[in-house]
Amino acid sequence: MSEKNQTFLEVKDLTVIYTANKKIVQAVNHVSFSLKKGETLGLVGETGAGKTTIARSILRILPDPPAKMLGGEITMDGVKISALSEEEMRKIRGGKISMIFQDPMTALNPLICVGDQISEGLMLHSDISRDEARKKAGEMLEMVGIPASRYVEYPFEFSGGMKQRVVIAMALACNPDLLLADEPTTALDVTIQAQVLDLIADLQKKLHTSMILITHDLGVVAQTCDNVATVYAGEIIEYGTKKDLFLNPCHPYTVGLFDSLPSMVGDEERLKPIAGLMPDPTDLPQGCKFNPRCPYATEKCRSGEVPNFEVSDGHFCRCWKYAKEAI
Amino acid sequence: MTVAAKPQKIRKSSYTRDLLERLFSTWNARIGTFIIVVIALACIFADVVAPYGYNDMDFANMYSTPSAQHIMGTDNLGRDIFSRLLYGGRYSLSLGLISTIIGNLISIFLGVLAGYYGGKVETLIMRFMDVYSALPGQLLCILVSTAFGAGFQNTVLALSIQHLPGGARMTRAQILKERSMEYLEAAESINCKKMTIMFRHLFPNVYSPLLVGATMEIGSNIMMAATLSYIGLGVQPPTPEWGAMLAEARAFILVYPHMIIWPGVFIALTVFSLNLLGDALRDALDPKLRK
Amino acid sequence: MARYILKRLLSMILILIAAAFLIFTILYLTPGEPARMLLGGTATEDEVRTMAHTLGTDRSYMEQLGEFMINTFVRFKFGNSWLYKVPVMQEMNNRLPHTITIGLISMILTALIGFGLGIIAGTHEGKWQDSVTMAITMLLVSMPNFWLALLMIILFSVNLGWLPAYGIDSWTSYIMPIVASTLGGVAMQARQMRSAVLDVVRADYVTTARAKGQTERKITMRHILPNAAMPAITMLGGHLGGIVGGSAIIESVFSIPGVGLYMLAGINARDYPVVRTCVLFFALVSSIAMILTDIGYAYLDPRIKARYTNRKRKEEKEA
Repeated sequence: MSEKNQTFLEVKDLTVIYTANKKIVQAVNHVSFSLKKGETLGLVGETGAGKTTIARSILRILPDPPAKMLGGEITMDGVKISALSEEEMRKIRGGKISMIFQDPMTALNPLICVGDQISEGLMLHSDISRDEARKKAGEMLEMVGIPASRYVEYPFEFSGGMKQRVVIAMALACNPDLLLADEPTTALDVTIQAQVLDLIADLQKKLHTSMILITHDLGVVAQTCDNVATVYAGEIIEYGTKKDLFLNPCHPYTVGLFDSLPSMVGDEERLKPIAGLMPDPTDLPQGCKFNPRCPYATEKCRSGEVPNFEVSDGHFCRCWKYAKEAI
Repeated sequence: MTVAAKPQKIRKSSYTRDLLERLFSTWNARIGTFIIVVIALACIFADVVAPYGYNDMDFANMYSTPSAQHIMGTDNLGRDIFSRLLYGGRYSLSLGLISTIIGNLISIFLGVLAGYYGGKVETLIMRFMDVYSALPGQLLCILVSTAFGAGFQNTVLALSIQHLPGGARMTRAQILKERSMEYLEAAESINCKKMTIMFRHLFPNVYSPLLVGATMEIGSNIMMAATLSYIGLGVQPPTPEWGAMLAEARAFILVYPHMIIWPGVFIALTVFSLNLLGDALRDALDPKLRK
Repeated sequence: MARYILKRLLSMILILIAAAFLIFTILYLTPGEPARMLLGGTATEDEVRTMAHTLGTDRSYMEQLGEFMINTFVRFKFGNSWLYKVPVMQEMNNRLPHTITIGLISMILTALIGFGLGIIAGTHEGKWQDSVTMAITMLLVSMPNFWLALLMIILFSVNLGWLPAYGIDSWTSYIMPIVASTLGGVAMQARQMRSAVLDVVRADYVTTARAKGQTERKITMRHILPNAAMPAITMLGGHLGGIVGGSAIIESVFSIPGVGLYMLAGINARDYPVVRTCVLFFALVSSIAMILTDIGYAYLDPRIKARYTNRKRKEEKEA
């Protein structure tokens, strides 16, 4: 594991659209980022910002139609996975890359016992017999804190938190190199959220897995991530280490996100929500996508793409406010 | 920005218009409505539209195949088939419509009662429905119409009770689903009367699947009415009900098949258009597809 | 599972008792005295009274119902035809093979073709397979099956002369009746299966399976189909019941000497023992079809499976 500093996953210029009722939804616009081995990247943003679409396009499981990947290059471990054939990609899915889904209530097939759903992936990606796969699946269940004797039980016999553990066990069964966790705790009670996050972090450390964690909860980011990217209207508008973003949020939107959180210290009495709504994704504003809601918006923001400015080493922000430092 | 307040206002006042707009944006609904309206109007104004009376016999032109004079030909007594079909449509369509309305009123009443009151009322009604559905629907319909006897009114009755168990069960299931919702607790907490809650609050929320079901039921009742007439239990010849016309034509199948074809085409077109409409209605009412 | 099947079989007996009660009551309430109908218009008052006494129709409702129930469910006696004075069962034995052949094959075809077409249409949403299936099934559900039968006679018997139009001479005589009683149910089943498939195709667990790297073929077989089959199976029972209920009409169109035609003749002649026995037979067949679909459902449904079989497996595991 000496290549710790090497880039493990690289996403370049990812662009995805949806077509609905002859309207085009620009879900992801020219998104680029990279991830190192064993690191965790947090994608933060409102519902509908395009976070899930980014994750699903890495795994190439977007429903086509209506979704279409227009451009972009995804490289993992030196392999350009965006150019692989469907058959080759299938071997990577669930093996090298796996995904934890948002809603544990619907992510499990109600008609198949949970153990078999875990061993299904195992048998696809490693050359082992049914019995061995069963044994391994039982071990995975134990690892996420479920007695292996519950292998034969069906999803309806589990609570929400337990189901999410099963989903996690399923995702980690094949020792993936990259884990895409799509709001893994959103559907859970607060008390169970912490448990599940700890569990994911533990397993990640144990298996040395890189992770992309999608969330709208900055608390979750603080607990688990190394780097953070703020996603707004299908674009990454700010990117940096956790420290960068939490101590020195730059983009007005990121600042707004922090302001809308209750703080334990300080004497502020009211939360400051971000004014306005997400723009209609079928009709995005010209220039900076955030300009209609931005208190600092100028004429410049309303026309032309905003370039990525480097605020400090490795801390990028897509906002004209930081232009002087970059030029 | 004023964006947030505006859409709500529009939505509240125009649910029905919104629904109709969504409904008629599909070709299924447009075609279905067009066919059924044309057939219904032609039948209602049969006195004007039909070229001959339903009982005018033209002995010079018996069994004639379609021609300019008789566009769908004539039957064994030289009666114009097209004219008979238009007059007969009055019977067929009203049989379908009236029996569906009566049947649904009864089954919705029973279903709402069972679903809302629960307990003994529910057990009694649902056990009765169980006994009732011990026989397949068509068979029961044949038997009941035997008991009632032939004729228009009796056929309406026999048809209307055909779908009772299904309708009552569906209403009950919908009510049970909605009963656990909080808006009912809210209504109870402000001391609404039970009947008010039941029919003002509960029922409007469960009517959509029933409406879809009823649209299609008109079609299936028209088919069943024709079936009953065909085996001699429903409306009797010489009444030009579509099934009764088929029953008369049966004897001439080997020599004059055109007598068989046209009544069936009318039945199929009518039922087809109602099914199209029902399908489109289901899609339009589906909250999952709304947006 | 055996316990579940046993439970369903017990409920079938209850259904049959309910059916017997229903048919008896309907016939009892039918206006017109059977004795007079049997004897014809020329019979005297005395003759009618004697006849009613022989038939037992002069007794009270409860007495008659009790005797009928005991005869049917305890003694398994179905009585003699009032009109022909021969045991009803003797006539039934001659007729059962025709009705059962047509009914059984129709039911199997309805289930197989209905599910098959629905799956093809559902998994090819928006493509030509879907459009063609949907258009044809929409037409088929809109036609009364007896009219379809008449059309087939016109085409295959009158015009082409390929198939016999009446009665049962050879196996070719079964083709049209089977097709006529199958098509409507097939069409409805296909439409319901299709919408069930469409519901499931978008389900999260299908995406989960895809994310696991499962092949599309296996995703369809293992994840989509079983889940889509659940709601479709509950409908199947009704369609199979429809075949049973419609067999009288099909037999009447093709003049097939089966149970259905026997029943219609019994209705016309007020030959109640005949009607009752035929109706009970239909109730039996349709409840067997219902039970089979229930068992099919239970085989898929984990809740029922867990209640009736899982416990054993779990105990084994723990031991």
